[in-house]
Formats: sequence, C-alpha cells, structure tokens
Amino acid sequence: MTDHSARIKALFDEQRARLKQYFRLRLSSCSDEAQELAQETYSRLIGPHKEVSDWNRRLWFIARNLANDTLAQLQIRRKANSLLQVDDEDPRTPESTWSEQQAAAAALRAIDDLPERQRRVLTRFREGCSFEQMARELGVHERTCRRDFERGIVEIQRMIGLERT
Amino acid sequence: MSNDTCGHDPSDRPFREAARWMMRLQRPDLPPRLLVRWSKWQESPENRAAFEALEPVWRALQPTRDNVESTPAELNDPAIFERKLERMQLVSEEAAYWYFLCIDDPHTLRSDRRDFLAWLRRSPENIAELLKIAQLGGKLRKLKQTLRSAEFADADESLPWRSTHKLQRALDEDSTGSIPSSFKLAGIAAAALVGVVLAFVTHPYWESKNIIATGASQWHNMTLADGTAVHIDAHSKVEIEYTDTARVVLVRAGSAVFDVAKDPKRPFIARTHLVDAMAVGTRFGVSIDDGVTTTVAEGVVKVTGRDNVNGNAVTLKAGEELRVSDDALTAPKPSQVDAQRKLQWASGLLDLGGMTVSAAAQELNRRNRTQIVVDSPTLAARVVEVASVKVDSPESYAKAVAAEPGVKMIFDEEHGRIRLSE
Repeated sequence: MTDHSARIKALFDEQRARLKQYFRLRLSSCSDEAQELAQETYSRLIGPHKEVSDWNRRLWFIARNLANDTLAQLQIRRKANSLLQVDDEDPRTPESTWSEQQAAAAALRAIDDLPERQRRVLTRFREGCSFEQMARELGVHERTCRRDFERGIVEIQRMIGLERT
Repeated sequence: MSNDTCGHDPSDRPFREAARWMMRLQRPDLPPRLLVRWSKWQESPENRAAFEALEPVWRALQPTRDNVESTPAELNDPAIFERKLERMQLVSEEAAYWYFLCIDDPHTLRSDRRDFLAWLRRSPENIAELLKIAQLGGKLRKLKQTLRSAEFADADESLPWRSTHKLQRALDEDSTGSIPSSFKLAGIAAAALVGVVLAFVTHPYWESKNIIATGASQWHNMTLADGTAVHIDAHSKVEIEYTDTARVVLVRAGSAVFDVAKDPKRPFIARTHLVDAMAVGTRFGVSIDDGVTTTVAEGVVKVTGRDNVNGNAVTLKAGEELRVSDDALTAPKPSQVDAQRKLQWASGLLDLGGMTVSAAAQELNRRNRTQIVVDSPTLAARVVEVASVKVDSPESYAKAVAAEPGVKMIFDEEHGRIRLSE
C-alpha cells in the first residue's frame, strides 16, 4: 500500500457524499447515477499521476468537467429522444419518483402563497427560463431575480417544513 | 424571532447561503477553488443540514420536459419560431437528398458516402429525419448496407450514442423483408411445438411462487408484498414462498440479503439446503458456498437445521456470523464480523480496502462477466488501499491497482479479461 493511494482514498472517502450531492444537483440525476459519476471521478483522480499541489482542488476540477461532459451528452440524448418522439429513460425507482412528485406538489402549492415577484421568478425558473431572460421580462437587474429566487426557495422550504410538523 | 437590520430572520442565514450555493453550483465554469470552498462551508453541521433540507425543494423546482415544452417565450417570439421552422425544412430537404443519393442510387461514390457520414455526425436531428424518410421509403435494409459500406460501424462512437442506438434498432427491424408464405407457416408450426415442449418442461416452475435467478454481472433487488426488501447477488437463485401463515424464501444458490419487515404473526424464514434462518424484523444475509453462512447486520436471527424450527438453535446478534459447512461434523459456533462491510454489496458497493489484490479480484470475479487476472504472484499478495468500488465495476478496481507504481493493466477485449502485471 503506498502513501499516495492511501491519501487519495482518504480524500475520496471524505468527499464522496458531497460529490454525489454535486452530481445530483448539476444533472438532476438519481442517486445511482450520481454514485457512478463519483466513482468515475475517483478513477480519473487515481490515474497516472504527476505531482499535484492540491489534490482536493484536482478532485473538484475533475468532477466539474465530468458533470459538464455528462450534461452535454444528456442534452444531446434528450434532444434526439424528443425528435424521435421517444420518452427519456427514467432510472429512478417508483418510490423515489413518488416522493419527488409529492415534494413537487407541495412546492407548487407553496409557490402560490409567495409574494408576486418571487412567485413569477420561481414559476419562470420551472419553465426553464434563465435569470437573464427573467430580468429582461420583469424589467429588473439579474441580481434582483437571483435574490428573489433565493428568498422564494427558502420561504417554500420553511412552509413545507411547517406543513410536515 | 428577531430579524437583522435587513429584515432577515438570522436563523434563515444557512438556508439563504445554501440557496446561493445551489445557484452557483450550476455554473459550468465554476472555479474548482469555489467547489472546495463549498465543501468547506458544508463542514458546519448547521450549513450541511440547511443544504440537505433545501435540496428536495430545489429538485422540485427543476424544469421538467412538460414545463419547458410549454414555455411561452419561444412560441411567442415569431423570429425564433421562424428560424426553427426554416431549419427543420432545411434538415428535411438535406435528409431527402442524402436518402435518394446514397440509398436509392446503386452507384453512390465513396466520396459521397463519406460526405453523407459527415452530415449524419453533425446533429441528432439529421439522424432522426433520415430515419423517418427511410421508414416511409421502406428501405431500411438498403440503408444498413450503405451505412456499413461507409464504415459506419467504426465511426459511430462520434455520433450521439442514443441516436446511434435508435438508428441501429431501426436497421435491425427490417420492415421490407418479404418472407415466402410457406416458410411463415413452417415458422408458426415450429413455434407452437416449442411452446408445447416448454410448457411441459417448465410446468413445475409455474407452480412455484416467484423464482429469481441471476447470472454473471446481474443483481436483482425487489420488495415483497409485506415490505421486506430482498437483494440478490450475481450467480444466485432464490424462490419466494409466501403464505398467510409463513414467509419463506428459499436460497438455492449464491447470496441474498434481507431487510425484513416486522410481522410478529409471520416469522420470516430464509431456508437453505442445510439451515433455516428465522427473523422477525431485521437485516441479515445468507450465502451458499460449500455450506451456508448467515451474517446479521441488525436485529436477531435464529438459525436451526432445515425444517426444524423448534430444534436446537443458534441465536445470532448484530455483528455475528455462523458458518455451517456441508460436511460439518461438530456444532458450529458464531463468530464476530464486520457485518455492514460484508453485506455492503447489497447497496451496490464493495469495500475491498485491506484485501490483497488476489482476494479482491476473487470477490469481483465471482460476480462479474469481466474477469481480473493477476499475472504476478507478488502483485497478487500486495494490499492496495482503494475506496469502495461499484460491485459491477471490476474496471474501477483494476484502474486503482494500476495506479500503483510498476503495475500495468491490459484490457483483453477478446476474452473479456483485465490483466494486471508488474
């Protein structure tokens, strides 16, 4: 066992959960896919190595690029599927789909109770609108849209949390 | 609750920061040092809890296909709509041109076929449009021949893989083949005969309740009617026999892990050729390998001789294991094990840390089609520290070992083997 492999293993074990979280967020993917990508990050990290001054930064550099590549491939695949009028494969289990649907339903109910601008920003976000586009439509600065989004999502989380208690 | 000078509730601070991080993380050009900073920000339990609480809300707000398709922005912008329509018309015309040039014309030049390939590579829209026209023209077989002669097989890595897959599937469904009716009748008669024979052979299996058999590189997870989760390893065979009075699962070969739902009226029994392992609500595994090994991760399991529930029993608690070999002459005793690690394969991961390369390769080889071969005895005896690897990914483990100084990895595609040597 070398120091290098032990060091990389320790780093990966420490960051595994956050890597999976990062991939889930970037790619809206399920846990299994995120785990595969985390594993791939590890494989690339332990590859033929040169002396690296900051292995933590190298790990996240690989993860970011892997997420970008995977997202690009996913977008091509989705586009091809929509042209061929085929549904995208859904790797989630029925249980996780159901619980996500419940969360989405609760979030939609909560959006209705938000102040008007936050409600518009979150609704447009769900429709795939960028913050830049939203800012143009609403006649405000992009920073204002992001702030409204931030407040809106926190408020929804608070309302859903209260709903559960 | 008191608010700060901006009117924000201070207890919201970690949630607001989490929301900001979620937006930042979407940037494709986010510098790695910020990702490191995010990771450090999560070291605070308060921040981590806020991020985890916010994640389901974030996911719930993500655009879905339905939401995006109904986006009014594009539909309401005539300029965008016009441009899209023009492009679609152009793609249709190009697809028709290539179809008639390369499919209908028997004397297509090699250079034309190369240009055709380049056009296909440009976009999945081109592939989709060509498929539609080919299906209308009923000439899928011809399309297949033309693409093969354009060395399509070598080039398909550069095409979006899904489009390639769709194209290949469409090519395999030959919609134009005409089969003589006499052959068709013979085919139907043969199929009927095979069906009757199969019915006789498989009749016993029809009467059994739910047999699940897995091969190499196959795993199966299922939830039974009572909520018990069963995880079946590769090269395994399990039979479910649930009745109103008993929950019995026969483990005929390989390994299975059970997360048993509580039902005091119906104890759960994992039955093997040697022993019965009975539990009320617990997590344990049963493995068959020249005997039977029962490993308990949570709860309590009672192990008796097969079909002898009231006979002499060995009680196993969490972290204990009992091995009964086929030729056991003395009463077996429980031993202490790291049960969570031993049963980790059920979650899709294998912790091979601290194992020699040879032992780790064995664990992976008995589950997967791709085999790891260790050519050097000194390498086989070496211990390599690796993070947990996916149970269906011997390649990941091999790469980790190959990263060690002086180790070489060769992938023998022809025989489905990975060779490791020094």
